[in-house]
Amino acid sequence: MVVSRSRYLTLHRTDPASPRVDKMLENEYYELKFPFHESFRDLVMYIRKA
Amino acid sequence: MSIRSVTWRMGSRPEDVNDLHVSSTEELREVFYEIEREWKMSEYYKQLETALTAITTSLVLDKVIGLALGSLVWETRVERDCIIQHALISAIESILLRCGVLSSSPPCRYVQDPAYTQQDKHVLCSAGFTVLEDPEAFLTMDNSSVLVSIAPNIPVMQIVADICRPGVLLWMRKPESPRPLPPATSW
Repeated sequence: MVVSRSRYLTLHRTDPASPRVDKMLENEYYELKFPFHESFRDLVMYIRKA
Repeated sequence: MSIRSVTWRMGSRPEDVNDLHVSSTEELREVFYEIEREWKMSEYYKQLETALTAITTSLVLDKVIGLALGSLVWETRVERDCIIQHALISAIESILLRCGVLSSSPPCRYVQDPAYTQQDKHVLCSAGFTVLEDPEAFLTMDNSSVLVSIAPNIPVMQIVADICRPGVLLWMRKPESPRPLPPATSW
């Protein structure tokens, strides 16, 4: 397993979401806003529910 | 090139922003610290502090793991975005330690990317990072982790969903789901 970066932040071709990921996030996490920055674009923050 | 050549400021990206070059590990170290220092004085950093201090959780976490943050240098050219992404890891550790979301020991900043050169590793280690070799990041990751994954070239989300539940996930927002196709019309 080699993890490296997608050169042009084309994440969704190589790290797509899936029903399994969606289910994990919806059931076990809540989302908080994370400020946009040009160096890492549109990140989203999930906090695991206690 | 002297560190003083770094004259741009966060929030502005003049044409020569990607023309910053280094020729030694020491120069890269200086550039790394200068970019991080400027970034921490930016308005964005205040927004980041506000966002992270909004975390209200009883979870106590003990490590921050950064995946696929990239090499700090492309040939001799400084990769400013990659340096800021590493600075983000340091900032998250620092702010969450202050908030009590992260425990104070042991030292807990991990990064993994096979693109790292020896020069990168020297600079990152001196900046307090523990550089992991593939696949140690996934072996280190657990429910007490903060995971930062930015544009990896493998399906990190899928792997995380299979192996553990990090306390905090920070990764790229997925695109809106495409609208479902209308039902087929019989002719």
